[in-house]
Amino acid sequence: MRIALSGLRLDYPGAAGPVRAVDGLDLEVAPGEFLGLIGPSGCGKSSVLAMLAGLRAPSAGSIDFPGWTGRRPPRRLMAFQDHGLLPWLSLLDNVAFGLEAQGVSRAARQARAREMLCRLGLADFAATRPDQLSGGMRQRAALARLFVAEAEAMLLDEPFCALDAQTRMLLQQELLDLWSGTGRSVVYVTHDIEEALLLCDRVVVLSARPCRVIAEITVPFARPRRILGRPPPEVTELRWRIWEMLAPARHTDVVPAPAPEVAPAMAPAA
Amino acid sequence: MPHLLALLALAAAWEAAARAGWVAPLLFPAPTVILDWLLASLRSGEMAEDLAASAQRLAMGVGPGVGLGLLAGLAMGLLPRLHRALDPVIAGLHPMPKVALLPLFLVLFGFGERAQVVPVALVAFFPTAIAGAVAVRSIDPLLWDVARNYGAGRLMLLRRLVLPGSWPMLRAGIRLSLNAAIVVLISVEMLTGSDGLGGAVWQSWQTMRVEQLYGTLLVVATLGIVFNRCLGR
Repeated sequence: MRIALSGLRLDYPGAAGPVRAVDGLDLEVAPGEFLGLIGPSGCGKSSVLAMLAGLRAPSAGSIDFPGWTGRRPPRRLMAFQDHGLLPWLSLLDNVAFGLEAQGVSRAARQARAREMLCRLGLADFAATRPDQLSGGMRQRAALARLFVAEAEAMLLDEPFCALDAQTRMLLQQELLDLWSGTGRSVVYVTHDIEEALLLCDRVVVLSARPCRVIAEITVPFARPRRILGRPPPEVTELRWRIWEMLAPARHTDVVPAPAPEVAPAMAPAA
Repeated sequence: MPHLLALLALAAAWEAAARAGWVAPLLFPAPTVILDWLLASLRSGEMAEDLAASAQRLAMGVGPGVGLGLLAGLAMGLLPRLHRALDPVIAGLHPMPKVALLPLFLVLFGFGERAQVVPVALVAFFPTAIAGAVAVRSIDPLLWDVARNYGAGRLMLLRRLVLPGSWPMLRAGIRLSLNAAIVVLISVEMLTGSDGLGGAVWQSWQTMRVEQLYGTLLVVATLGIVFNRCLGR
């Protein structure tokens, strides 16, 4: 599904009058594309995602889905920085939550949720409440909920930012594995340059607030990708290019990861 | 178990003090005397009658009071405009002593059950309504976003998000409602001199049967413990 953002603007009330969070954003997401949005903290990335998800109305501009002929608006499901699992529901019911909202029968949604939990290694925790799981398992369950539900596009708002480096890499790989072949368009917000380069087809660099597009970079790595392998040498070069672009941002917290000592080419997954 | 042991120790100390004559038996009769009266009252069916009368009034008052409080609380939590409109009204009416309005209810409804039940219902309404409104507003906004983003309809929102999300606080409100309702019911029964546990308390003072007073209060305390246990901790 194609998504077109045109002149998107978002103002929110501040103590000294309206504060402009997003200013005239023009952007297009191609069908099946994995698009990354990267920018300094507080630049309005999450607000863009919230508008894309339909959770917040833009102050001006439009979000269109060219070519979409469905009766209902296309489903744009979101994964949040926090897992957003309902604490009183079992993991199974949490994963099946989207299917329940979409009117899938109890038996069918539980079967699909169970299958997804199996795939992600969480089968033994189907009856467990989220607060009894580790952060990585909770975020994995949130991914399961995202992928098991029907959707045309997925919007991910720094879903792995609170996880340790090892868990993050594992989940990045699981995200790519789950996504490959779904044909779903993805918009992935992050402030981790390397993560954006390893996951995305294209990275859109955003300015500090108010959010505008500084540059768009096409990531030249083939798919399928192996996150757990060593990153290709181009990652280092692209990372510093993006870092330089973000330098003028006054309140930036975007930090490039240290350059690897050896950087052999990223091998496509077998 | 430790709280039961503490209670037994207190009763034993009281018993010893009463037998040694360290406390006035007219004001503090020995626990065994209280227990004797209680057992006799249970055997004669007198206590069962009073308990049944009070329990019936409590149910008639708490049912609608908590029910309406629940509806009002959830509605206020879900509709900010309604909350803004009703919150000052509730803030003004809640602290008003409902027992002070008893003469008005007696004039309006006569010396019947209704005059005794209305203050109970009123006092049960407010804690549940206030807790309900706060409980719904305290649900993590992220969970609202998740539910809306996944397309949950109104019924699913209520069943999967609002009710379970607000239940812990709501339960505390219902507990407060129940406790306040018991207090007001006993007061109303004392003031109207009717049957029921409050009537028994009043009668015990009139006849200086202090063991009846303590025995009845023990039953009231047990009632409170049972209700609160039913609602969970």
